[in-house]
Amino acid sequence: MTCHEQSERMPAVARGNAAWTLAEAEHLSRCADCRAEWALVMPGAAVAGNATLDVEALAAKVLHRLRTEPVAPRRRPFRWVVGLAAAASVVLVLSRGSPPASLPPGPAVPPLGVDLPGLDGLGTSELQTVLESVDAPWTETSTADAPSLNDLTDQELARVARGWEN
Amino acid sequence: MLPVTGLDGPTDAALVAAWQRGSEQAATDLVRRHASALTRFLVGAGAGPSEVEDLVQESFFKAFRGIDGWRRESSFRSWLFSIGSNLHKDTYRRARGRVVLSIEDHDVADHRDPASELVADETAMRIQAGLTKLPRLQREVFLLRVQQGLDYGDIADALGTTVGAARVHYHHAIRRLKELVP
Repeated sequence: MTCHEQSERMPAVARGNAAWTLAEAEHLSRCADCRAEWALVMPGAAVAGNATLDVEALAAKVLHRLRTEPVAPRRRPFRWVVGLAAAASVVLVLSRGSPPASLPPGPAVPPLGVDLPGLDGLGTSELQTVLESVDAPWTETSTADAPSLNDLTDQELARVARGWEN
Repeated sequence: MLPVTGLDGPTDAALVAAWQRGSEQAATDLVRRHASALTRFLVGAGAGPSEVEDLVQESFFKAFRGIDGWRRESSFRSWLFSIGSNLHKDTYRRARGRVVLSIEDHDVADHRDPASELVADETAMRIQAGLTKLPRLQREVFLLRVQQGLDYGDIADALGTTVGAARVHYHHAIRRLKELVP
């Protein structure tokens, strides 16, 4: 019997779902550390034990709200950021122009270094960093002369697409 | 994971499926099954008497409205607790700076005989007072483990952390409470 094993069993015994074995009772009697923990866990199971609600009234209120309150349209937080980042990456690609024909096909277009589908998991500061990284090419580059996707050949479009995938 | 099979009736999963088919009775049964535990958890975590009913109601409302978000690999109760915990956290953030009521001010109903349980209640109240001095995750891990009897996997699901981190928070909570609770 170790202190770790004893500790693992404490919540179940404190809640009355289990009882100490002989070995556990013996360990508890001679281990001051476990006794101190047990002195917290046993009454800890009763914390807020007197807190009650009228469950039937609660259920009625919840059902009433479910019947009467309209379902809010599902929001996709930061989806606009993904769209903006994707648009910015297109502008970045196009503003750099087509690579020379002598270059071998491949990842000629450097990606932004951002895993776009992963943006939903980023925090505010990380999203800010992403925004700043996509702001730079957007603002520093004139897009007036940049060709649109419609102007690209199939080969150039394929190259752009490969760049996105890398 | 908590037992969800039905010695006392259908499993949580069966009730959820029935709710998804439109059974209001199933939703009522889920409220009956989990409302008291959620209430105790939120009060233990520091929710005041004026807010706990709203928090519990909102937790169930959000759970039923967003039932498709329940991943069946965690228990319905731990998922419900995660909603309640997040709502409580948001409430606390909004009310930051407001005077926090001590547990003696909690005006919750007591349906038990106080004479026979006075000593145990007093110790539990001292622990609850000690809990208010712990960081939120330590406090909630302690409550989910000791008060609710959840295993570390369900605790991790409920609080959006890992099993290892939940264990560490629990042992930190125990260590701090040993110092705080005379």
